[in-house]
Amino acid sequence: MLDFKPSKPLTFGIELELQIVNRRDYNLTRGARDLLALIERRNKGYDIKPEITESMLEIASGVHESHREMLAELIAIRDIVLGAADKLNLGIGGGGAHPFQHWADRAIYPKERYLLVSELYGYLAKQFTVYGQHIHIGVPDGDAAVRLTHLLARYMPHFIALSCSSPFYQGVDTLFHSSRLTSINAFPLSGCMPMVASWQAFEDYFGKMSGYGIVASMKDFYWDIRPKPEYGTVEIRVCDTPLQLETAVAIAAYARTLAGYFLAHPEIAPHPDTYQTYAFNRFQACRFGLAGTLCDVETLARPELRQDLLATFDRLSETARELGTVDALAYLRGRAVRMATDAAWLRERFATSQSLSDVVRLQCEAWRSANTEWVV
Amino acid sequence: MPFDLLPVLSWRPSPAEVGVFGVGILLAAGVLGAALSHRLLHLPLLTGYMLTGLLVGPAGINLLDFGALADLRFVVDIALGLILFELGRRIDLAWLLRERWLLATGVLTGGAVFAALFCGLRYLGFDGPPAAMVAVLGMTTSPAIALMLVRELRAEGQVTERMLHLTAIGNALAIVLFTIGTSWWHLENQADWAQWLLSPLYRLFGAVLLGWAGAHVMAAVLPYLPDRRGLLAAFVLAVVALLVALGSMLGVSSLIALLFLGVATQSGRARLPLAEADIHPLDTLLCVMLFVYAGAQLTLYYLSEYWWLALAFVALRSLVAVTLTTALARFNGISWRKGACLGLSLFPLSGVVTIVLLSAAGDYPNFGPQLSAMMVSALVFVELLGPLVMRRALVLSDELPGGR
Repeated sequence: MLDFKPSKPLTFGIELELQIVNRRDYNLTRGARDLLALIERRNKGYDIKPEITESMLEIASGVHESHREMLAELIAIRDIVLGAADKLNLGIGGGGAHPFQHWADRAIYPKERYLLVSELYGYLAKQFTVYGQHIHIGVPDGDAAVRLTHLLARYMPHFIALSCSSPFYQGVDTLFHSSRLTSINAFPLSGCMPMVASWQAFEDYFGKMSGYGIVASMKDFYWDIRPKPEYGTVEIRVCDTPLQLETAVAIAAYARTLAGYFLAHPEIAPHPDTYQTYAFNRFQACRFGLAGTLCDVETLARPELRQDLLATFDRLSETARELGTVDALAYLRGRAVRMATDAAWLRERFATSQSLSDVVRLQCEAWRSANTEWVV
Repeated sequence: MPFDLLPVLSWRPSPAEVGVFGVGILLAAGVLGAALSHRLLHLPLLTGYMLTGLLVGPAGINLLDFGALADLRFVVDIALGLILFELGRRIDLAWLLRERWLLATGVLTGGAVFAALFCGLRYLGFDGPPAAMVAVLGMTTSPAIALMLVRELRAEGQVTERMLHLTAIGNALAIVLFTIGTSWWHLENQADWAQWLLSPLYRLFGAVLLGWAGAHVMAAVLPYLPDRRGLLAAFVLAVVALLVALGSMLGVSSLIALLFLGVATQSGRARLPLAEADIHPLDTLLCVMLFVYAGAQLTLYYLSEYWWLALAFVALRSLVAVTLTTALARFNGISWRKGACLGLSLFPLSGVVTIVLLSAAGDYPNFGPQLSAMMVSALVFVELLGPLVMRRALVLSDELPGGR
């Protein structure tokens, strides 16, 4: 029924949703079709496609075993996109949400699935003009996918806090570090996978849900983490699109390292109460970023998110050496130690200029420029 | 006078009363036109303004006669100034310099339109100099229709952006050529080459300097304004009005000065944090008056005799523009279809720019009765059909929000 297509363990890939803005006032603009038409003429087989509204562009890496190769590929894609965007005078930027666009101004991209989604979800579809990073990690089979999904759930706050880049929404400071995830909560099938124990159990669950007529495919589950049977991966979907490619790739490398750790330690089992604290921890990460407070069901401790993150990095050092991800983790550690998040960066820029247009302009510049903290 | 219609009234209105009455009529006609065109015929608001303008103007019931229109000319000057300022603000100089094909498209399209119209008019036996001047006027696209229609329809995309840039390029080119041309024409018979050269240089570079100075004054004053949006709009209007007046007094091209003021406050060191929404209430008001005025200026008198010549002029102009922009579409990074739409969107010739250019030329060149009649007849077509054709082009290029 739901065949899980095995893939090589710990291969990985990412998808990034990007903002398309005009260069006049840096508001979102309906540029996707012009941009994609031009890119099509120059593209050399890279994965660049539309997303639900016409102010969104999605780029995806291939399947990789090294985050350095992934970064090199994504830089090549970025150059193609920016080349076309420059010709059309469009700005391209990262960030989880556009700071001041009005959702009602958005237009749905004319593709059958998006039009159906828009028909079904009404205004939620246009409010869904938010920009995320999805990370795929290859797993050997469906049982491993289910186990990894549960185990990674406890670490989702880390991914939220490392990538958070949507402090402004609809023209106001939300006080959140990631306001984007809140707009996903509105969908009826958002949240998490139920606490099933095996792929067989998951198939039973899926069979029930499709029997009720609630879902037709895995795409209908808007979960934070979900198995992706057709790719043979576990997909992490909580991240905002970071402001720079290097950060996105480093976060993916962190996910890969965590997955590597769990695959190398089959004795670790998910805690049955994982999802009891999930919403609380997720909120803490969204609202306070690295300064959030977590509730750890294993130890009953209340660590600061950043301390928990650094402790996890320590625990992963052996695996990181084996997988060659030491530099990526060091980069993320450096940022965490300084409490440097993209959300904080955006707030600082706004404090200086008092203009959200200017913030988006700088966002686009950041997306274009190479990250100097990144040491390979 | 309209008051002759009411012989019961024995009193004669004062000039001030006539002026106020004129403003009232402009606005009332505009509102009525907008309501009618929108509710009944689904026409663009701009067409509605012009149609009612035509109705109340000298060609219609003469509620606004030539004298009243002349008295209201200052409203048009300010409105056009504001439009050019805003068009300038839509122009991205950095993009024009980077995206050479857009600049080339503007220059080539303008040049080809000029050449085609000039040759066509010569072929029909018109004299060289007046044919050249009329061909120059044919290069303009109405900045007011372009800007206001893009706003009214909330168009976004490559055709929209490129059309606005081509409009600015076309008008700038036409103003420059027209200025050089009139100066040449006036001084043709004099041997004073220095003046032949200096006069247009002064008119153009003086205008750029005036715009530049205006931009820096704005940038200097703006930080001291209290953060009130309405006040900002008033300030913008003040600068626009002062520049229009100063340009006229100093004998430099106000149109260029205002266009440059817009460009300079959008990019460069005097960049102003002005949002389009800040000026909206103002330009809605001024545009209603501008378009009613433009409609009232239309003359149907020569149509019966010159309609074919006017239509040929308009058709040739559009044909050349569409051919050029389609041929250059791929270089502009857009599809053939969008390229053709781009050329089509340049259809509305600028009546108001024509009026301003002609009157700025002093005792302006006499085109001869035939060419003048053809121009005013052509204006009837391009002004009334302009917004419709431009809307069609934007619909075909799929750049309106639509019902999706």
